[in-house]
Amino acid sequence: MLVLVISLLAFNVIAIQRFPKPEFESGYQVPATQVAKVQSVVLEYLDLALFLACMSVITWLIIKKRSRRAVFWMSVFSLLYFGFYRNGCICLVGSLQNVSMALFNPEYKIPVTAITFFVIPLGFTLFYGRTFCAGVCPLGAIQDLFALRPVSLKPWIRYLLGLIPFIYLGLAVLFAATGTDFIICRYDPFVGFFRHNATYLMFIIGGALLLTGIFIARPYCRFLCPYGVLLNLASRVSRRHLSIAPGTCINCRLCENACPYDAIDKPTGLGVKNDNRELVKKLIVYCLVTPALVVLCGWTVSKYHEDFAHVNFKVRLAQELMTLDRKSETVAIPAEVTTFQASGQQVENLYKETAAIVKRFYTGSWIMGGFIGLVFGLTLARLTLFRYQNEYLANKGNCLSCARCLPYCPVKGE
Amino acid sequence: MDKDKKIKRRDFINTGIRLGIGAGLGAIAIGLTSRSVSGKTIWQIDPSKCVQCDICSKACVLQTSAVKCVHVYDMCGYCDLCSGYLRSNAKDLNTAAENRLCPTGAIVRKYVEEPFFEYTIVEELCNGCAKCVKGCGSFGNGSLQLQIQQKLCVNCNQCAIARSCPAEAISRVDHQSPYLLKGFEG
Amino acid sequence: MRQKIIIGFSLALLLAAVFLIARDLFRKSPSLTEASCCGDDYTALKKVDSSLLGYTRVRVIETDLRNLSGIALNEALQVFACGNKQVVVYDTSGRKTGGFDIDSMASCIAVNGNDICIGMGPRIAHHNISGKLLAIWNPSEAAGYITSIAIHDHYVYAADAVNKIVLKYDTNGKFIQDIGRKDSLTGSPGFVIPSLYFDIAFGAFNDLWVVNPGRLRVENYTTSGYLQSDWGKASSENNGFTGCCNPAHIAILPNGSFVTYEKGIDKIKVFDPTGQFQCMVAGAGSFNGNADFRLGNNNLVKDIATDTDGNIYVLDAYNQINVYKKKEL
Repeated sequence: MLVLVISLLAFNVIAIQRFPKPEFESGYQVPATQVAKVQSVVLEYLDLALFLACMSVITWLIIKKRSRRAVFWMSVFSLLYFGFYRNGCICLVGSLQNVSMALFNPEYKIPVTAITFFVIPLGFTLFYGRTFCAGVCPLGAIQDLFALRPVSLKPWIRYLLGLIPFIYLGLAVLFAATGTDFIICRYDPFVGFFRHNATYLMFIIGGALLLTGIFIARPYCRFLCPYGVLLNLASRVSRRHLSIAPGTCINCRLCENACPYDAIDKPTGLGVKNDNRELVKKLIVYCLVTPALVVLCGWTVSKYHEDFAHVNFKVRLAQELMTLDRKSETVAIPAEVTTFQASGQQVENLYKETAAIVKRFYTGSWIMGGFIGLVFGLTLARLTLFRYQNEYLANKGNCLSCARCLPYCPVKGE
Repeated sequence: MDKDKKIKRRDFINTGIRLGIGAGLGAIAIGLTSRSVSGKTIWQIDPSKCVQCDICSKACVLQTSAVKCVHVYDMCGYCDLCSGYLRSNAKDLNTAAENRLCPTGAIVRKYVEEPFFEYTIVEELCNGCAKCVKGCGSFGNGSLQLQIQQKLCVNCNQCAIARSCPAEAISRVDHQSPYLLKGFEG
Repeated sequence: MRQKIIIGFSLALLLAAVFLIARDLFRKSPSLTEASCCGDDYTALKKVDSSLLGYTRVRVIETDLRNLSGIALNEALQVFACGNKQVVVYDTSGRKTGGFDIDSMASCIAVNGNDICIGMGPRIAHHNISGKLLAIWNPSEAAGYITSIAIHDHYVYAADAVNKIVLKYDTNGKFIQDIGRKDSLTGSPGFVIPSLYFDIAFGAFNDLWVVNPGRLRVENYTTSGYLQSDWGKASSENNGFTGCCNPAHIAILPNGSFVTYEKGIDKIKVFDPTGQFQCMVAGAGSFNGNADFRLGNNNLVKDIATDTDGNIYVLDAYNQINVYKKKEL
């Protein structure tokens, strides 16, 4: 529950001059209408400061202090504060929708907190890896608690499922940018538990994910979270990152099964070194395949742009108005149709607006499809490239910096 | 030597991409901040668009909806036959319970003087069903209006009622003018 | 083996969750059907029993104007319509025959012989028949709103809804007296005006009829301001008025019958000179067009007027003038 400073202010009323007011002879005074005051913005900024502090602390705990215990308690704190106390809203994952909406809709005024929530974790990740996921994200924390019997997944399953977050990201950005809906918020699996209320669907998804999370650890984080995609990409180029060994890895293999998320890259053995001609051939193939994939996926997804557009309220309304005559008398007329008819707006204007929206969806779905095609292509490319590695390293993209592996490493720090 | 060169090159590329992403983020942040920023936005109903469909009381994520009926006393006619209080098809025009509109009994009527009656809303009982709003607006002055009560609303990033509203009557407003009441200048 | 089952089961759960999300997002079924609101169903009240209809519509004058607020007719059967900064004149076949400009939004209009009087919010203007402005004045009370105006015997009667009084002036704007002020000595009950609807009309026998909307009745005053009689009661049946403040508009036929419009249920009824319900004229479904009817934004009927032949003219929210003629029995 939000902490509220409630002050019921009786606003002084200046009535519209021409309104006929009853003349009271008994001295009765018309009472002032009472409305509750909005929670102060200062509290939001305090939250922001706290968030910044938490991010700094967790990063220090992972990179410098290297303590699994501390990271664990940090995540519990985040779960309790950012999750149950603050109800998990506005959350980081959702903030990317605010940013998308703001980028493509100049009339939308984005709150400063949303921008900062979006930028800060990415900033930290660019330099220190995915420390946010470990200890500050309440969604991650609740899943972490449920990771009781983690099993290891085969790489091909991971790569396949790993495409889902990209699709989710694409859809989220598409719907947010066209001002249609915030689907991440709509299908947030865990906010129902924080807030003690949600739609049936959200509870079902939440329950299913927590259940899955007992065996497949952090399923939302790894295979659904759209913000995780961005963090993944940023983390790959991070300057410093959680390293299992504080110095040089001695290949003692104690950490091998420590990671519930299959994020530890094992040494590869001497394997075949890429010879240059093979490399160039592969490069050429990928230079041809990837663009082809981009175009193919873009074209395929754009075929469905009308189905995407249907999620938009105005488009649905226009669709219902167009099919109104064909409906039989027994089918109840939807409320939004009767409302529109009662509002006296011109149908032609609605159709014009709708056509513009559908066009935006068309462009957007081409871009989204192309993006997914690009991801396909690059993933394929990366899979077939052989990179020699002779120590145990945390996969820079996938590692969530939970620090479970750290206690296993016997290497003393420098 | 080869490996060193490779690592240095990789580092260079990494740094380059990192700086690129960093610059991009910075651009987004500064661009958005300078262009359009509000301290905070909250959700509010526009009473002139509201069609009293009663979805507000069901769609809110809270157990009891944050939408409440607000009485703008300045617009009220203080009528004996209040069409927001009484059913209009009642056979006997008295204030018996079966003739009252409000399903939770949240409107309280008090005699002031002839022929004026004061109507107040008990907020804890109101569930935001808009029956009284419809009555008052159809026959009377429309002094009963639905509003999202800001001390109850949790200010979701995407309001669930706004998503379901058939009239698109709910939108984000700046937190400094949080109420959109007709006939009321706070 | 067990490992494989566990993995399979968990993956199935995960994919089920994803599938549910996708299915819900791309649902094609209509999102909302008519929510069953309001145990109070106004559609029952709004229904017009067609066997009670006593008038048929013979013509619709499409004005192509916007924001028309009042109509009035003179003995020469010219229809005067006032709106935003203009007054337009039509003949009864619907052809525009003239008009003139005024300087602000008009709220009501009255015509008698060579005189046209227009209420414009807190002001009253007196023009001659060709549109020349002869006099303009503010009512003596502070900041009123003139909702209805009538001319009789070279006197102007203006109904001020904010100050809840009927004011009598001569055609130059000289204040004569006020009518209907609450006075325990004369027994005048005073007007209860909950909303900006306060209508007056002159009957066939020099009688001034004023609607008292808060009391749901129509009162008869002499031209010097004495209450003589009244009729009307609160009822959801046809023989009374519904809601808190009705009838919103009134007009009087040459035989003394009253034509009333009730807002909320949107019914136009005819009452005989003694106040008994006679027949219906029109209801909510009678008019077609495009206007904003969301709460409080518009009423279906803006004004009613009658001519010396006993026809009824109805100005609707779509800026059309509907002409009704009594049905042959």
